[in-house]
Amino acid sequence: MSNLRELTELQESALKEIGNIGAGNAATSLSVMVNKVVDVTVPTCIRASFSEVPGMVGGEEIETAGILLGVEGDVLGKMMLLLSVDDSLALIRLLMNIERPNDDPLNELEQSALREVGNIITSSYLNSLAGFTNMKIIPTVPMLSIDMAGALLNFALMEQALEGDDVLVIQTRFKVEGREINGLFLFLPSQASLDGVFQRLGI
Amino acid sequence: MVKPQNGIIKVGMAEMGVTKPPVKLVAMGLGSCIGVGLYDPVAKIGGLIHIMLPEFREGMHGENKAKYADTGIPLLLDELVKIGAMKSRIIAKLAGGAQMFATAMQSPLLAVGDRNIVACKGKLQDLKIPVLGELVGGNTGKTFEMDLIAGAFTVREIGKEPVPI
Repeated sequence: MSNLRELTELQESALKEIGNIGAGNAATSLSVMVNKVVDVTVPTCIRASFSEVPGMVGGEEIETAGILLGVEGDVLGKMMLLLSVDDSLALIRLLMNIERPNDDPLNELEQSALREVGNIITSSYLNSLAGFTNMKIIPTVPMLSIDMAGALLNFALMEQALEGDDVLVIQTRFKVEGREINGLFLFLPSQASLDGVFQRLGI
Repeated sequence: MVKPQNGIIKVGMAEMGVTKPPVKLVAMGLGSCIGVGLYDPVAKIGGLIHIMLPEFREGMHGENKAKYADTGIPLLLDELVKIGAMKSRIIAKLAGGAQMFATAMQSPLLAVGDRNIVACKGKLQDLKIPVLGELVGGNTGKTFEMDLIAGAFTVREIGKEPVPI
């Protein structure tokens, strides 16, 4: 039932390398914003059916803050930053240098701060991809929603659902030192765009 | 078709399942997707599908019919009849179809939840299956559960009491 081609070893290592440098850039940007060391993992590329993706982020019903950006230009897809609600609040405290109670809803300024984190991480990551491929890649305006992880992913995966029965998920975990903030960053490229990237790289 | 585990069939994105009691059916974390539950209240046989998109169009790839409202709902109906449901008795209830992300810019892509609702209801009408309950639209994620013995359909949202539909 699957029609997303298996990646060759070379293609997978290229995606990991681009992702690794992109995630490194993203960590540096985030580190400057929060004035803390930010660690990132080496990205993993996983081909999954749609029903398998929520499991990668902790399950369908887990309340999650999701910052979603579209990817446009020569590469199409979605970028999504996922944080637990507690971690999103911890990140806001760091970013804005404020104390805030856990049960207050996010105000406009706080929501904007989270969207900006998504924006900066995505831009850093995409710059790496654009640099390697010499392609024009533009992120759209970030959108924020806090709800069940599965519900957030429905929309993030919609375009891949138009293309086929499974999706390539490139995921990177990051951690802000000392504050136990764990984030998950998903790059969901379209298959056609991936083909374009590999063609450009000659692999 | 999803198989039961611990007495529950967990229907993920673009999946479907049919069963007899005492197995329950659940679609968790529905956002723009729609869970369509079909139920024969006499035979107590039920089925649930987790639809991602309104309609199959030529030129799209993928073979999974459960992904689309227009191809998935008839398939679910066929599977229900195969395990003993009677078409004339079947009713439908649905949940989902939310818009999870809001921006100043409205685009047809963002409104996929609304288009899913219209497509599901249209297909159910074509098949002459009455819709007896729904919790659709809005901007919150939902979990939809079917208890076949009681004929009870429940929707859960974060921070709210479960609601029967």
